[in-house]
Formats: sequence, structure tokens, C-alpha cells
Amino acid sequence: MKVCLISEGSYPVISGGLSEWAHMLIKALKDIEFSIFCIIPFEEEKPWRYEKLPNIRTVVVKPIIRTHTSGSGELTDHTIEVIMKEFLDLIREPRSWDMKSLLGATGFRPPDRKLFNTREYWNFMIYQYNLACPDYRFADYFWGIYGIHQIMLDSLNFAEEIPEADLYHCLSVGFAGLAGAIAKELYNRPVVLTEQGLYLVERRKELSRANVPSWYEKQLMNLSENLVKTSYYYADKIVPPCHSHIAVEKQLGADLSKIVVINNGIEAERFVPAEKKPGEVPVVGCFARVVPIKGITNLIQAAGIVCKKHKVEFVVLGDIVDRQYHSQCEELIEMLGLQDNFHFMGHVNPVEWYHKVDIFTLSSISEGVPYALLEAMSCGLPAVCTGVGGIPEIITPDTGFVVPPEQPEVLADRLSILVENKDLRLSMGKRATQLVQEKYTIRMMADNFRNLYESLLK
Amino acid sequence: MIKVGYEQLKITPPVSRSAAKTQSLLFILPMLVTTGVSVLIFSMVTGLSVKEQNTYSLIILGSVILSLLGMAPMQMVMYRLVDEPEFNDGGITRGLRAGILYGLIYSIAISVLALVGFFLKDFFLFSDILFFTSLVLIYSLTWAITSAFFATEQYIYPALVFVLAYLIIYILSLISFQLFPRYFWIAFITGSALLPILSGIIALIVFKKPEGRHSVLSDVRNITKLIASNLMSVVFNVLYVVVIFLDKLIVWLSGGLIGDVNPVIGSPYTAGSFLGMIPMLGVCGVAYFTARTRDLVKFRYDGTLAEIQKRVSEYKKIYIKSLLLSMFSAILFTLAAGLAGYLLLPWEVLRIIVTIGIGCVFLVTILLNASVLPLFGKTEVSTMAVASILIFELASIPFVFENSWFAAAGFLAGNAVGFIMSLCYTAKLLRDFEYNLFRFLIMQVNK
Repeated sequence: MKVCLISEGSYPVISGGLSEWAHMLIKALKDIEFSIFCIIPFEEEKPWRYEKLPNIRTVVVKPIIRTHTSGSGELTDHTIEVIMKEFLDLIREPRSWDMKSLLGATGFRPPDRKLFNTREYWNFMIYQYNLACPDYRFADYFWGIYGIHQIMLDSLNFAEEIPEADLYHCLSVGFAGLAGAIAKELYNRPVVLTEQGLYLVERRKELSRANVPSWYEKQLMNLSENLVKTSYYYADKIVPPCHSHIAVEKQLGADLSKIVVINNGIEAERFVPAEKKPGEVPVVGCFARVVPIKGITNLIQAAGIVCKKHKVEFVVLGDIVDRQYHSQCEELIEMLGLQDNFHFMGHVNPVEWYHKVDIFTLSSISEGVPYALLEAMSCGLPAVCTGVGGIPEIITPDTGFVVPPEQPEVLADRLSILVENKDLRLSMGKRATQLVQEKYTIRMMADNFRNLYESLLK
Repeated sequence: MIKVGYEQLKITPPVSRSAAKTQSLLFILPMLVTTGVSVLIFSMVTGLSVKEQNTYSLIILGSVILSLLGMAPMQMVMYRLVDEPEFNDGGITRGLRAGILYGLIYSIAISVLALVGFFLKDFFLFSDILFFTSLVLIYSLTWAITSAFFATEQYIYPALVFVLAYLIIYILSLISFQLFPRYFWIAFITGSALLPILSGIIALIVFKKPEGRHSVLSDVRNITKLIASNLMSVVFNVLYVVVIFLDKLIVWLSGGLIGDVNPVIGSPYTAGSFLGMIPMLGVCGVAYFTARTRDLVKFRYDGTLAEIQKRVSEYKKIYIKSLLLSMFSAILFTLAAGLAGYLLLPWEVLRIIVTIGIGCVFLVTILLNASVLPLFGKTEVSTMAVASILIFELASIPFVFENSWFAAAGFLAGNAVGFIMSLCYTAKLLRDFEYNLFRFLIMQVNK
């Protein structure tokens, strides 16, 4: 069986949670031959970040933003019309692109960028500008939208670049999903789409933080929604890691019959419990990057409440990504007089720290299915986490507490329960280890994917 | 991908009509004075022997032509330097330093070639060589410096310098003809030297000196790159000089070949063709156009689409006005020159004046369009238009042996073809102005 894994901004040249996941999957599916089609943002030489596994045959790395490209597709009036109306129009209601007519119009070859020099394209831009923002500086509109169009048009180059395989597995929607749709149309092979995080939700959050004009935000969001809908439409199976994704996916047009949940798995043998020394001050560990979406300020407020009653130490373990947010956190720590109780440790060796920590916590406002939670549970830690993303599906009442997001008092209350009660901590931790071994091992995940691949190829 | 938060720029009003008229008058004033003084000096030369007449005419015209040819790239360079980020710090002064260095090297190279010619053929005297090399140096430096004034649209300084220097040249030449006619050339050189000296002094005062340290050699390197990337503009400037003088050179050389003597300068064709150039004063329309559209061009990409369209419509109006002004004034000058020729000169000369004059009416339009076409990245159209003049002038060679008027006819035919070519293309681009404006940028991005 030959599987082409399609990644965007991740495996094998960019490290991160999704890349770890993909690496573990390939490693576990030793008997399957993989090729990787990796989409990166820019044209640049990117070294491998992972051990090159023996079952990986080919790796093709292609950029989204290209400086030079010469599409070979002929530009007829019909091609231009189809590309502009069916593909580049970002003002229309979001929809799944019809890849058959789109690729058919270009003869399954990437269209020439000369399309942008045509009068038809100019008229199309003027029309769109007048609809979107006739009072805005035209040159900014033109270059902003032209940039998006260029990326879109260049993405059709995937048709000439994607390796042939028995099955395509997209690691995310977006351009990886689009490449999957192209592959489906080209080779008529099954496509599996996994969605660890919710692409559209993440894009919306990113854009709301970026200070961009509303017309630009709207068209970028429409592009993202088009990508999502297209990815869902062409996928034979949509595989979220938790049930909580299903509602959003359904709302965005995913066919329910295509959705199948496969739990994430970890290498449980790497994450085993350690002996705790008696009588030490309990340590609450939040394994997260320091960014606003992780809700660290809520955790600090909760720590303020807990520390009034108990002697506890709080540590945040993860890269300080957002310096401004980190300063805000430090100010809050000072205001609440928590300088001796609350510390940022930066990037650490997680296994070492799972053993030093007594309670695992996450105060995130949004999450997918956090690997840190599974790893911590495997190491025998009870968890107190906000009920976002797939978290409520993992934490059971006998392994920890799920609290509503952005409610520090509730978070503090549940943390206090565990701080006060060492036996409860230990029993919950023990059960957590069992739960991971029962439901969240890499072996189970890999077997589920193998079964899925085989069922699609039958 | 996008620059957000731009302060929206409002439509910039174009430079007022009166200011533009002053600019265009200042642009043609030195041309009028130099033409007038040159005619007067050439009439004085007729008092000398035929050989001396020919030698002096050849030296003066030869040095003007060769220096213009050599310094043609400087025109383009100076215009580009105004916007070149590499030359933000005292760019014009640095460009001038490089230009003067280049002018010196060029003059030396030309002088060496002239010396070789001198040793090969004893037709010229050593004083002739000295006269020639001095003039090549003087004119080369003058063109280098004045190109800086033109690029920054400070026409007042070259106007003052040329008027003053040419009046002095005339006075000195007159005195020398009265007292020592054989040493007329020394008076001419002395007066001409005022051109680079006065221009240089003014340039020192007017142009900002660079604050940082920039070596002349690195500036020369950057300018060389600039020339390489704007080759079409350079070719246009060089060809423009060539086509202005080529018909005359063809006639002089063919005259020399027929008589088996050196080039014959003093002839009805020389008089007719130079007088026929008077309609070139119609370039005042080009100066008017560039002055009035300066801000429209500078802010062409600013504002909403409606504002861009309003600016484009204003630009088109000014273009049409300038086109009519250029052609109309060129026609008027042709008629005036023709009338003067009819009253004072034989039919043979009159025919050349009118033929060249009509050619100039077309050439002025080609020049006007040459200032529009770069907006759309179509400099090559202007180059092709002047190239067509060159082709027709060369094609006239076989007929010139029969009658020198055919050189003028070649000039006219070439200009007519170039005119049609440049006008059609410009009209096509102007019709879809906004589209072509942005299309050019997209093509640049995707290069």
C-alpha cells in the first residue's frame, strides 16, 4: 500500500505537535510505504526535523508563496472565465470549488500567471473592488487581493507536483486539503482528511489578532472557508481526533457519514509514572506556550485564590512566544503578590517535568486534543483543565476535573480540592494512566488508521 | 502582502498652467539664443576661406554631435537618480561627480581618436585638434551638468547660463573676427568654457551635498548598473541625437565623396536642414506637459479608484492639450521658417527647410509620447520610433548622391512612420490607462 501524506507547514520540515503525530503514525505503520507532499509557506531550503524513517520513499516540498512560476496551462477565454468565476471570486458565498471543471479548464495543468495581465482579470478586480470597498485605497486593495489570487493560482501547480499513490492522507484542511482534492480529481484515489485543530476557527482567531482591514479579513476568511468546504467535499473520510469537532465540521458542510473519530495516541512506554517524594509542596504544572489563547492570566488569578489558602507552587512550562502577553502575566503576578509561587520555566524536557509536577492543568480558551494532557495522564497526573476542544472527552470524573473556560474561581476551587487531598490526586493519577493505556496509545491509533486505509482501498 | 493604515492621499492638483508655461519658456529660451548666435557666428565664418569655413564648421558641429552622443546616457541617469533609493543621500551631486568623471574620460578618448586622425591625415592643423578636443570636453561637461538641472526641472539655471555664455561667445567671436580672424577659435573656446564653469558653480550651490561618504567609483558602478537596466531609454537618447544629425552627416560625407575632398559643411543643405530644425522649438509642449503632469504622475497609484480615474482623466486632457500645443507650435515654426526661406532663400534651400520642418513636427510628437510611454513600461516603442527614422535616413543614402534633398525626405518619411507608431501605441495605452498602469506593475512583479 502506498500512502501519500499531505502536510501543510508541518511534517517533516517544521516541528510541532502535528509533525510529532505524523512521525509517530508513519513509525507505527512500518509495513506501509509513505510518500510525503509537504506544503511550506515560502520558497526556501528546509532541513528535515525528524529521523528519516525507512518506510518513507519520497518527499516533495513545495511552497505556497512562489516568486517565480510559469504555468504551462493554456489560457483560453473559457479558462480565464472559469478560474475567475469559479475559483478566484472571494466575494461570493463560500462554497466547495468544483475541481473537475477548474482543472479540466486548464487541461489539468497549472495556469499561466499571464492571466493576471489580462483585461478580464482587471475588470474582475474592479468589479470586486466596487463591491467590497469602493472607498478604500485602490492600490492596497489591488495588491492585497492580487497576493491572495497569486497564491491560489499557484496552488494549482500541485496538480503537476503531487506524487501518485494508492491513497492520500491530508494532515489538515486548507492547502493540504486542496492538494488532496486535486489528487482525488487527478488519480481518482481515496482521500483521508484528519483535522487535529479546527482550521477555520484558528484562522478566525489569527485574523482577529492581526490588524487588517475588514474587506481583507472577509476575503481571507472566505478563502479559508472555501478551502475547508472543498477539503470536506473531496475527502472520503474525515477523521477528527474528538467528537467535539463534529458539530463544527457538520456546520461547515461535512457529510456526517464521512466522519469517523480516531483518538490520538501516544507512546505510553515513554510516559510512565514516577515515585513522588512525601511532604513536598504540591506543584501545579501548566504545559503550554505563553500565548493569550492558553488563558494563562486566568490561571494566575486562580493561583491567587489557591495560594491564599494553601502552600502551592505554580509553573508554566512552554516557550514564551508572545512577549507582550508574558509581560501582562508578570504584572498580574506582581499585583497578586505571587512572585514566590508562580514561575515561567520556558521550554523544558516534558517527561522530566511530568515527574516533578503533582497536578496537570490547562486554562486554555481554545484547544484541539492536547498531547500534553495525554502524556501527563500517562505519567500518572490528575488533570484540571478547561472544557474546550476534545478535553472533556478525555478527562473522566475519576481522572480529573473539567472546568468552564475563563472562570478562574471554578478552576481555583477544583485545584484546591486536589491540593488538599493527596490520596485523591494519587488515585486519579493511577486511573489516568490506566485510561491512556486503554484508549490513547499510538498502537491503537495506528491500527485504526490502517483499518481505515484498508477499508477505503477495498 | 498589504500595507494597512495608509493615510489616504487626496487628488493632487496639477502644477498651474502659468507655472508650466514659464517652465516651457525657460526650456526653449536657451535653444532660441544658441540657435540665433550660431547662425550669426556661421555667417561670420563665411568671411574666411572655404577650407577654414569647412574646418571650423566641422569642428564645432562634430564636437557638439559627439559630446551629445557620448553624454546621452547621462540624461536618463539623472532622471532615474531622482527616484533611486541607492542615491537618497545627495544623489544628484553624486551623479554629477560620476557624470563629470565620465565626461572627462569620454573627452580624452575622443581626443585620442582625433589625434590619430590628425597623424593619419594632414588636412587638419594642430590648432584644429586643440580646438576640437577643447570643445568636446567643454560640451561633454556642460551636458553632464545641465542634465542634472533638467532632471530636477530647474530650467532657469541652464537658461541663464546658456543665454549669458552665448552672448559672451558672440561678443568675443565678433571682436576676434574684427582683430584676429585666424584666432577666432580661441575666442570661441573662451566663451564656451563659461558653459561648464557657470553651470558647475551653480550646481555646487544648488544641489545638496551627500552627508555620508560615497566613493565615486562605487557610484559609477551603480550608475553603470542603472544604465544596463534602462538600456532602452539610453538607446532612445543616443538614437535621438543620431537621427537629428544623421541626414546632415550623410550629405556632408557624400559631398566629400563626390568631390574626393573632406566633408563639405558649407552647403545649401546645411543651411536648410539647420533652419528646418527650428520647429523643434515645439518641444516647449513637452516641457509644459511634464511640468503640468508631474504630480499626477507622482501620485498616480494613490487614493480610491474613483480618485485615480479622475487623475487619469486630468492627465489625458493635459496630454491632448500638450500634443496640440507641440504640433501647432511646430507647424507655426515651420511656416515661419518656410516664409523666411521663401522671401530670402532659394527654392533649393526652402524645400529642405519645409521637409525637415514637417519631419520635426512629427519628431516633437514622438518626444512628447516618449515622456508618456515609460509610465507603462513601453520605452521600447519610442526607441523603435526613432529607430525607424534612422532606417529611413540610411535608406536615403543612394538617392543623396543624386540630390541632397533626399536626406531630408528620409528624415521626413522616418519621422512620419515613427509618429504613427508612437501615436497609435500611446493612444492605445491611454485609452485603457488604469488597466495598463497596473498591468505594467504586475508584469514587473512577475518578471
